Amino acid sequence: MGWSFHQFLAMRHRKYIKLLLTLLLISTLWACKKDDKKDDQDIQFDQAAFLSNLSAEVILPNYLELDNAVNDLSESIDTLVFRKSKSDLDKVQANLKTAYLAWQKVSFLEFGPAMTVGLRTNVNTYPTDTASIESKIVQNETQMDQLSMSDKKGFPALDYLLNHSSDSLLLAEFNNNRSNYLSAVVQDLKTKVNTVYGEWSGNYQSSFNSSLGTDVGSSTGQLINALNQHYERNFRDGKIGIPIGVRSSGIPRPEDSEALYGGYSIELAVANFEAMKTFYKGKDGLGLDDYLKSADAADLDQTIQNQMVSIDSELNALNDPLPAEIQNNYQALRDCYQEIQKLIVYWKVDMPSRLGVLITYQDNDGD
Amino acid sequence: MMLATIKSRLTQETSIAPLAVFRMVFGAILFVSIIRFMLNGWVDDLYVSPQYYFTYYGFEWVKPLGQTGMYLLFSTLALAFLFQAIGFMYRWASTYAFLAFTYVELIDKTNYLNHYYFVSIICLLLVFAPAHRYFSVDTWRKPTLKRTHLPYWVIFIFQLQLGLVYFFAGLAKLNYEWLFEALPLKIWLPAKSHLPLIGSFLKEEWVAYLFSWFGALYDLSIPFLLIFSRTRWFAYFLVIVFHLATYLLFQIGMFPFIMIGATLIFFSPQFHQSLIDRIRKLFHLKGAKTDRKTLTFYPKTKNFIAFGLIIYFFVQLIFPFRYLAYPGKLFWTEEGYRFSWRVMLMEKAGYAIFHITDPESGRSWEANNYDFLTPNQEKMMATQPDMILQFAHFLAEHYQNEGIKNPEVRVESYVSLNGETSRLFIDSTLDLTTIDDSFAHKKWILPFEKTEN
Repeated sequence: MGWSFHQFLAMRHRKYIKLLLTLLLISTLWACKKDDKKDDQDIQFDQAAFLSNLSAEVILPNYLELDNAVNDLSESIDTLVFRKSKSDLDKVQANLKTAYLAWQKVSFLEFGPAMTVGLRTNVNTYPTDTASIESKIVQNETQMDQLSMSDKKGFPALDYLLNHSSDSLLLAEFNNNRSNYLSAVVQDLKTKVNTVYGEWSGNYQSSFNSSLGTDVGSSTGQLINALNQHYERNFRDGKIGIPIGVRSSGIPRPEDSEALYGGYSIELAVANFEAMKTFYKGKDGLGLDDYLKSADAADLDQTIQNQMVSIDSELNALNDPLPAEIQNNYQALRDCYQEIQKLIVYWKVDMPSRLGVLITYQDNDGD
Repeated sequence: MMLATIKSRLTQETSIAPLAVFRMVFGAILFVSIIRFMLNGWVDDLYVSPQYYFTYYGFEWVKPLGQTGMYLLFSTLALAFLFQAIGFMYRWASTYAFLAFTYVELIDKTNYLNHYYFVSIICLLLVFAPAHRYFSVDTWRKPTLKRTHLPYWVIFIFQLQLGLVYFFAGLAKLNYEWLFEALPLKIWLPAKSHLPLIGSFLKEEWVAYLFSWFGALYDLSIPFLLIFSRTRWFAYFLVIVFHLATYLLFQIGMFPFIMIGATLIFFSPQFHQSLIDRIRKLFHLKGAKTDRKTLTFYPKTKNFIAFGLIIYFFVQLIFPFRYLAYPGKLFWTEEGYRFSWRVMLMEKAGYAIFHITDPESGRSWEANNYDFLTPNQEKMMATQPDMILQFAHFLAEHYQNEGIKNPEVRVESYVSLNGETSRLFIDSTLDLTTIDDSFAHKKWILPFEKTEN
């Protein structure tokens, strides 16, 4: 361009390129040298094997267990509405509890098919709206599909219909309308669970196994986000926090307990936590614990496992029914809540940070 | 002597073609970006569904306009960028694009991105630049507007602005963690090891070091490699490699394409003229015979512009250094972090629990963040002190409306920086309702101490 400043740059420029290349070379060599030092640390993590293990050993068996339990429950309800005997009622109540416990093993998997179906909202929205249920029964309305029905069906509605009174009174009130409503609720539950299990045992498993990486849509990203969202909102808050009033200006709301009528809220919470622990550990195979270890974060895994022990000991010290515990043993519940809370920080802040997983429930740009 | 050389170079006549191409490329990419933004449903996610917005200090009056309003704003914004690209009612379109885009960005600092800031200031520069006076609908409608040449400084201000963006981004990378610990790339790259071909390399630690050093050197050197004609093609090759790599590896949206398009302005007038000729041919536009006609300014306008530009670039030069006025670790406190071209520099995550106390009843409880904030807002708030304070004040107001006279709000927040174990971020004993936000140092941010393990 015939401009002196350019020429000035031109002369310096060759040196500049050389400098750049030299620096690149040095940094590469230096980095390689450093790499030699940490040899045994660098376990290669097989993300595909991790996902296959989770889906084959944890997710599918858990959905199958729920599917079977719900089918059993449905069958026993058919018999109950037909015969209305005390032993039938006992069996239904036992089956309900089995199914409710089985639900705790999949409730934190709200992604993929469960997300599409809206499984959690459909099967476990509580507190259930008992007044509306009663008026639906009077009007013999059994349509379950509208969104507004979510707090009038599912496990909480079954819990109400099957546990809200003494056995003899329950049996006495089973007229046609009530039986219809009960059957419709369990039918809806069965359909939803069947659909999700069907998807998982069909095509979804392989697409889950092959969606690698840690982006928003990846399987790892989805499962960590789903686990965290459930743990925070449905486990910490739904099972303990809301009933003890942490979210209502400190005034307890025992009437918001899960399985309020059956009176086994704590048992469900314990089962739910146990299932999340198993999921974290990948049962006996590759789990999030191994993932962390491979990312040079064995210390964090240890912290998480220790915290799980603390939560277990707090949870196990609690007794059902929850409303009575709120009355008599309030401080223990608050302590338990605090221990549960600590794990959120490790799971939601530290774990994704170490694994490079984007914690977000919505897609967006970053920089 | 040097000054005189620079002055003569800056006032030297040059072809207007690079500026016209810049206008077209920038307008077109932004047009696509805005459409993409709408199609992704982000207008609803970011500007309609949230109940609360984190406004910027001094811009509390900026509010979203409701669903219809926001869609109207975005649609007209897309249209404005399209008009800008084709040079139709250019001044109006560019002014509107700048105001509307900046308004949107000011609604919620949750959505702050360096590249949005970049778009805003380029829009501002384009408002005043005569980018429509060649190869535009405006000159076709009013041929007297047409100019073929202008003083070089009009083009140089865009080159300078781009150069500053890169250079500051490079300077920001010159820190211990980036260079000698390869953080955060050491965390981010292995997470991408499932990618075909390059995936297996990304697990290697040396690759993180290589990327870190290459990134820093790239940012620092690219403005110079681009301005000098002999290295320009090589530099542009690097631009493409670098930005495509970031596009493939990270969730970075349209930014790579904006930069790949914008850096074309460094190319020679001949290059741009041949681009324009090719577009002409493609669309069978007749190239009216052009007499050389140079854009001139009235002396008064010239002084006004010179004065404005000196102020503008002075601010651009100084602003990224304002962090020096604050004590503590910049990545931790983020005081003076925004608007400084610090791009993808750290892995930071946090979780904030707000404890509310009603001194009258003595009761205490926790706020339910997710009742008020979107997951993304919650996430961004948890690591940025000014947002934590804003939200604390919002909560106080919320509980006052619920009938609690003087709620006290404390935050227990944990933050992890670059994969370090999370630790307490804000003084958890402090009632945040007693604190007002300002640009003074926030003494209630706890100091960052690195743990060795």
